Amino acid sequence: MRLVRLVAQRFRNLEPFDLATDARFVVVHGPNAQGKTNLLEAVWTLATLRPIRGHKTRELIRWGDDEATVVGWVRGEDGRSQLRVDFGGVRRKASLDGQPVRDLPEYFACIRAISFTPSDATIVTDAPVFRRAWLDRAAFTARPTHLARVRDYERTLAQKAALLRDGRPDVGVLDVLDDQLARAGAALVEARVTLLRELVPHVRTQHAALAGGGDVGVRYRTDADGDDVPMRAARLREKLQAARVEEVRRRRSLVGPHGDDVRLLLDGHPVRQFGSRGQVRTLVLAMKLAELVAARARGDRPMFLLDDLSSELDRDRTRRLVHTLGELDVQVWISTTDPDHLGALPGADTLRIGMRGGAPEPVRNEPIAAGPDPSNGIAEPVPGDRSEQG
Amino acid sequence: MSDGDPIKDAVKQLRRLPGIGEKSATRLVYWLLRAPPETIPNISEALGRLVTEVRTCAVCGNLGAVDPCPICADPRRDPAMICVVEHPQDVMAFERSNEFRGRYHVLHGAISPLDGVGPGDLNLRPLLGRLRDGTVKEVIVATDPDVEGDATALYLVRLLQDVGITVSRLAHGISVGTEIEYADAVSLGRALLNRQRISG
Repeated sequence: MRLVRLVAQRFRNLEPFDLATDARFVVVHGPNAQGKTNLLEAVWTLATLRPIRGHKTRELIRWGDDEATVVGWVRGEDGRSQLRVDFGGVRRKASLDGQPVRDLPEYFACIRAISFTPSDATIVTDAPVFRRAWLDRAAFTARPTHLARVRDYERTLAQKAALLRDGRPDVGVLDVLDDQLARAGAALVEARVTLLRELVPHVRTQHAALAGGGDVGVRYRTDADGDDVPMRAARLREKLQAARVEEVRRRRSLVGPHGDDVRLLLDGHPVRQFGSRGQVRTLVLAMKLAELVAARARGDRPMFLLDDLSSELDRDRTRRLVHTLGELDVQVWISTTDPDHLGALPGADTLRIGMRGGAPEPVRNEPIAAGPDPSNGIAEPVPGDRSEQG
Repeated sequence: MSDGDPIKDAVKQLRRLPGIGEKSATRLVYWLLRAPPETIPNISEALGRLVTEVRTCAVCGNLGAVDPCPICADPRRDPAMICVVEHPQDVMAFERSNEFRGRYHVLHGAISPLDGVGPGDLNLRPLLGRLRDGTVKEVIVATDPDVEGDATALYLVRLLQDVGITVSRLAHGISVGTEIEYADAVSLGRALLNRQRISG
């Protein structure tokens, strides 16, 4: 899939813009604090309906305004789609080809993105919750129905937490919730492990290519071990039963995939404790690239977003990375202070956008492929025109 | 309760309704003020009758003008089957389908510790009472297909497992009239999970 046109209004500090983006590489460059990351976040937000991790929805809206809009036209295997998301306060509204979205997986079938940002180092260095979030996000990118699995589990867990907080929980209800948790948890773990099995060989290959050495190990640690969903559910049931008294006494859920972790090892040592800054970055990048390579192997073409690349990798690695991305043939969005850092890009299929004071300016110093008019055959939506929402 | 201004008071009262915010409430109030003169008295009277005339059926818990409700009182309805639902609206939905000839039981909610709702808050005891004399042979649990509805169904299954009654759960999957191509992914997944063997 390729984002061929991007429109945003009242989005963060950005000036309203309407950009034709039909290029394999979109390079957003400019000095710091000009809005490069925000432009990439507009793409990310369109693809995930969420801010970049750690940001709040409210922050997506320009200071002093009530709502922000991002519209994108995507060209995929099944033709063109127009995607739109409106953020207002804590609420968001997504539409697909002018219709409000009722079935989220249908929306996400049209657009997927994988991102690599400086803050992603926390996936390796921080608490297990960051690794679970990465894995669930990756599973979701691979198969959008994963969202339902995560939500089912989280909702059940929230119900159990509420029951345990009570101090004297109804045993019959606790039995039922544990049974639900075992089933939802087993399905969640099975999906995570299945994806991890798919990713790990690619993580190792990508890491070897970027780092030139070092053996990566990945282990999923879970309360729900087993070979299939029924076995995992049975194992979870056992552990929940064994932990019952302690859970009631401490008024907390102690067993389940919300406590699982992905252990990452480099030459047998946990990267979390022993990894250098450079090793951590390389590993995270290898994990993200693995997602992309796995997606390509499945026949998907998610967009790949690289934020602030110049601060992340040295020149040699950057060029190798850009070369790899070129071969994968997906749309790549890169923000950088120094576009020369990237090395040679396919001139005819590269769009450079200069950012200054929140205003994106396409730079036409290189020939840009003359593609068809991205608005062909698509009704012109004007952000701010509310009529299509009924 | 009243702060003097009748318009503000009316807005305040309407805002208590689900899905009605300040803007909608204000719009409704001004619409009512310009509506034909009998509109407001008619609405007030209809609402007032909800208080004075609606009864809870002592048998099934459904709401209506009479107790017992017409379904419980109808001798042609199959007394061997009870369909357990969360809300009175669900009874109406089943009745529109014209497919179910048994009787109902309305729980008035689902188990949800987050909302402080436990089994004791549901209309469960009368259900157990109805199962005691052996007339009822099957209980169909038709709670919503979400976490709370599932929890309630599982709880009922456990509660009834010693009573010696067939307990079945409503099938979930693709709605009729939906072409598979257009079914949403979650429903399709459920439908696969709940598939039925047709031979072999």
